[in-house]
Amino acid sequence: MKKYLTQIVILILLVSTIVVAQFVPFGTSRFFDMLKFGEKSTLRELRQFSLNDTASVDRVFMVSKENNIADLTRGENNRWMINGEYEANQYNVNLLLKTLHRMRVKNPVARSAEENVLKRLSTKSIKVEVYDGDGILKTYYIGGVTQDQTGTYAMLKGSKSPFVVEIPGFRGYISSRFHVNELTWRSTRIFTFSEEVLNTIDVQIGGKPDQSYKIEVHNRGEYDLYDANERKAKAFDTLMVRRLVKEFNHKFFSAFVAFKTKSQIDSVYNSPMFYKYNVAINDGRNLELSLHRVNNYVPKDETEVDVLNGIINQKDWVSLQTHIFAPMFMELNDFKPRF
Amino acid sequence: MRNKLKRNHILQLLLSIFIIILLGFVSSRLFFRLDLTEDNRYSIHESTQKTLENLDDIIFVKVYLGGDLPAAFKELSSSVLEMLQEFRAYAGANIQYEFINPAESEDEKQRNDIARQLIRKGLNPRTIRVEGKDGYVTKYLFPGAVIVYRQEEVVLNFIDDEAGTAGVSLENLVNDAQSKLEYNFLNKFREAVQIFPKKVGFLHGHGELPRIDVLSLARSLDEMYTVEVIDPQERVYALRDTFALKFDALIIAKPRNRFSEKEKYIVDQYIMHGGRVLWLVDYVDVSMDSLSYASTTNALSLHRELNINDMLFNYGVRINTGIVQDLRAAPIPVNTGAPGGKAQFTPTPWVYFPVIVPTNNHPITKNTGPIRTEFINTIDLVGENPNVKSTVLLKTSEYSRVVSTPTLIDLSIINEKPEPRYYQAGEQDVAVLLEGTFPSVFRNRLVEDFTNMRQFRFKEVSKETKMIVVADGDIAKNPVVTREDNKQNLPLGADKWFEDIFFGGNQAFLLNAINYLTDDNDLVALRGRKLQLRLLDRQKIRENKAMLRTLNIGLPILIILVFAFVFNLIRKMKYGRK
Repeated sequence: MKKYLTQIVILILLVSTIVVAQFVPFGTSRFFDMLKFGEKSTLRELRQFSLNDTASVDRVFMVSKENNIADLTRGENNRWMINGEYEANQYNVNLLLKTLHRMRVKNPVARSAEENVLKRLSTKSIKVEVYDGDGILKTYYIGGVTQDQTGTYAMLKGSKSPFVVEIPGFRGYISSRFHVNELTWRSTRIFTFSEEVLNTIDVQIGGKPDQSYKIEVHNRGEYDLYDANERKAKAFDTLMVRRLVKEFNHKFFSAFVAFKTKSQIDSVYNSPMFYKYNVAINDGRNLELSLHRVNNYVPKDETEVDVLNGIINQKDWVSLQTHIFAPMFMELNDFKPRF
Repeated sequence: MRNKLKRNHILQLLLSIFIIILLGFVSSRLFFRLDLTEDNRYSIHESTQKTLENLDDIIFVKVYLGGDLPAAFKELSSSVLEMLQEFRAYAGANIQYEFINPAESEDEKQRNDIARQLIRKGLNPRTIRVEGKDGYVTKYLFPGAVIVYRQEEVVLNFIDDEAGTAGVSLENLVNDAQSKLEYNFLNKFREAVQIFPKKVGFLHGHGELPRIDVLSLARSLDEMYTVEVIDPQERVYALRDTFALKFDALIIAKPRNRFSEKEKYIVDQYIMHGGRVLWLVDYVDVSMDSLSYASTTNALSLHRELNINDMLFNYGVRINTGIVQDLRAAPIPVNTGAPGGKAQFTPTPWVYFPVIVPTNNHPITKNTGPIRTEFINTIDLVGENPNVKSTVLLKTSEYSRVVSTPTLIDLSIINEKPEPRYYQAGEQDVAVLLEGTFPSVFRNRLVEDFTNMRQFRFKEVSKETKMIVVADGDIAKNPVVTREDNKQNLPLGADKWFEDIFFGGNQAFLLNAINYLTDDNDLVALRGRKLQLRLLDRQKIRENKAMLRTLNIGLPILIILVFAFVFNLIRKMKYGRK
């Protein structure tokens, strides 16, 4: 062994130099800096903003300094839920995941601006925690937008320095993708019911109560139709009924209406209903959507007005497009047999 | 025993292999230089060091030369890395960099988005063909960097686009890029750091060189300054506001038409308030185009026509009307083909196009290279104003003479044998630098009612300022060729007819002149840095061919033999039986 002492000493020296270089903070010595593994970059602060594998992400928790929370969790069939209660807008969630995957450092924050940026991050940022099955993956603090609107200030938990981040190839800022407004995260799908899950559809027509009706959906495409007085129709156009029932399969509204004054809210909630759909599903749930004309304006032709107000379960005020819901504006007379 | 010996040998071998691998890794990472060259070619220049040391915030350099690159670009990438590491030695943490592979994404759409974004920012892509799984694929490379200072982004293309389109080989382009790295980086750092970039104006409105003729110079200036064309149209505040100058320097390139008294007043007061002017003025009206149709043409004097003689005289120079003929001359194409046969153009020196080789050591002319001129006049220093320091920047060769105008320019002169005895007028001054305080040409000429008006802020004597007067306008003129009905400019100093003829001095001299006028002396110093090429002495090689060959082949073998003999001897002495 004595024979190889010199070689062993050289070997140990070399290995320990390389190992030590990996742990010495960047900037301590140029010699060690050059021996560090990794990319050719001098940025040694925590700057790995991108997530390589977003498929494993099962929860994104966002909280603002005002304690508004958006808690996105991956549910059954990969459908995302917001705050454990509502279905999330899948497109927006995918966009968020794509952002987490692609975001990169655009540039470090100028030293002259660092103090300000840190102050703003500590008072007006959104904390974003990303989890996979094993626990927390990353924690970000997402701040405001740079002056030229092409970057977003952000910082990783544990880092001392903020960075300007961007998505390479995308011109714009990404801070708008990290928000904590539950309503904007909620899915705008309202009717997603196939025939198999529908029990009854109760349709009330505001201006013509005698034209209101109810459809009972049975298996194998069989329906019963009742008029406003609960009298069962002996004969009716089943194709028209089926067409209406199919409409409940895939319907979206435009957006939740938020930030309105109490008087505005009262005025819509108390305005005369134009159509009201009450859908009973076979798991016991009920969904009610009442449609209200904007400013109570009654047009000559329904398609004359683009937008309608909607109230879901007498709780959420939404805005929806007339042409999307127009095929559902059916009256009892529309189901009369045509021969 | 044998097994033990075998094991020991294997162990020793493994240890040696490990050490070699680790040494290889360490040496590939470590970067150090001992610059023992006389001209310090491997060290960064003092002006660069100063700029780097004075940085007050982070400059972040995003170099788009990451990833798998062809050999030439890999070399460029290494040079850039070394340069940035060198910069960090002076700027410390104020220089940060990252090498990025713009084609890293597997998603083609994203790759294209990134490429589009980089092109929009100003990076010039270069296409290369590489062998892929299913044959050849075209890849885009971005040999450049985006430099970010605070929120300011500046783009640096390592490869000279003008040379790239002129058909220069990739190796030469990369070599050229490597040699210019320091200058280009410094230039861009300055651009990024400057809050208000300096402004250079090309004066127009007096028949000056058209835009396409000065495009090459304007493009080069545009990398350092905001460049504008300004036609004063007799507006008093065209060149300055009430309190500040609108331009840091003004270029007056070959005016052909009369300056009105009002416009002279505008330029004069610009100078009086500290404005810097590069005068590129000649007094000869002669065109080479005329000689392509006829064997003779007339050279007429323009000095009365331009009406600026009194101004220049007042500042301390006089441009004479005589034309210089010089034996050290740039060539023109002469048809040497047989009559009736195919035209064959041969470059033939044309004495009316003197080539100036700067000899003085002034920063403006240091190492600029030969400068091509056309129908140049001579300059006299006049006035002996003690407040003005005059420096002659350019002189013709000693084998020159001056022809008075008007005169007949005869093409047949090219057939005459150049006789040095006819060119005995000696060196002629053709460019001067004037520094100091100049008297106004309008002093004692304007009524008091006007000079006392506070809004005009008339000044009789200038602030400390400087100007350069060159007795040739064509010095800034780049060749223009017409291709498919489109006019295209060639780089300044290139020859329209012969690709291998290039006068790099024109561009360098003019850039130095403007840098000097705008007090950007560090750029002048860096551009003037001379890297001496230590070429082999061909004469000596020829003479000692056999000996050199023998030495080159025999000496290494001899050294090895000596080494082997000594090694063997030592072993014998150490282990031999006594």
